[in-house]
Amino acid sequence: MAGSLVLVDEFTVSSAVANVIIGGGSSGSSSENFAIDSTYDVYMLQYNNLFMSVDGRVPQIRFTVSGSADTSSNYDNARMNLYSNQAFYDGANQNVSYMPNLSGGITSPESQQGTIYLFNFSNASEYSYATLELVGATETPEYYGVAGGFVLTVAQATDGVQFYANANNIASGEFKLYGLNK
Amino acid sequence: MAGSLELINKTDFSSVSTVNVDNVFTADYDVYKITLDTGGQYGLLRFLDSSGSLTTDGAYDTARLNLKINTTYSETRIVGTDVGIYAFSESSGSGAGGGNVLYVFNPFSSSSYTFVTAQTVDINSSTAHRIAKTIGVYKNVQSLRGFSLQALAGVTGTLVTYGVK
Repeated sequence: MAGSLVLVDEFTVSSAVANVIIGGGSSGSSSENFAIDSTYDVYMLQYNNLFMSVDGRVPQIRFTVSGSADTSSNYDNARMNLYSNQAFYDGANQNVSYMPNLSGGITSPESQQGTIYLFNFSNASEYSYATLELVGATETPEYYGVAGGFVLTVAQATDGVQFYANANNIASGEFKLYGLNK
Repeated sequence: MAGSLELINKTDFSSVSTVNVDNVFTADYDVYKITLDTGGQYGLLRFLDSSGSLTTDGAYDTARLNLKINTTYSETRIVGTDVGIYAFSESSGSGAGGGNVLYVFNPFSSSSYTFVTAQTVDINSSTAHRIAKTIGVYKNVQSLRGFSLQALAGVTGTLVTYGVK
């Protein structure tokens, strides 16, 4: 019986880039030219060893429409930020242009890794939803996690996920996108 | 393109408080998924080093949000302990049970810390269920080859380890 988690796109940042697109068809960062579609109902994006080019920069997240990041202020999110050395705090935003994240650094252990599940991306009559759980270290370093979710409140098909640096670049990282077999 | 969730190990155990799952982390995978279909009292995740021995350094951090059905949510924050990450469910009492899904990042790497995310559900008394979201880190760059479930009392269940490729 074939495996039920199917790798459909992957990209490793080997030199600094302003952004990474996983999926997104021919606009994607890899040469796979994969666009999220109805082949699978649910997709899982996993990333690892994400470092920034400058301490304190933030890897923020958007969805793509026909390969281009949707930069509209239509993202809502809610999340809990967990720290091993200080009180947790929750956060939520309505009508922002990206999914917020915590800052990273440039050397080990200041990396970030996480798992994002994507829902309804190919359905043009539904919003695009995602759940997120990540773990990492800031440039201090402080060890943290984020558990939350976000939604792009536009009824449209989305076909990928963009990670972008709020300033400067993403220095390195490994990104993999899987489909969950129906 | 190749890539999937690949079964590495399935370990059944009964009425034991320590379960070692050795020789599961290799250079073949960077990320691992671990499931556990039961709960254990104060279930800790501790790693086995490159010779299969339990790590003994005070290098474990935990941050855990406990979502309880019958009372206020609570936080668990632990820095620099040697007992492990409070990653597994903490069931106790009549009908104790639980469910656990963990991801472990970079355990085999000798140049990176090992990071963990976990989602668990359990019962911590006869009626009080709890869901927990946990992150943890093992702050040592040594290569690890396995892990240990450590509980305060005997538990019965199955640990399954997958490689995410």
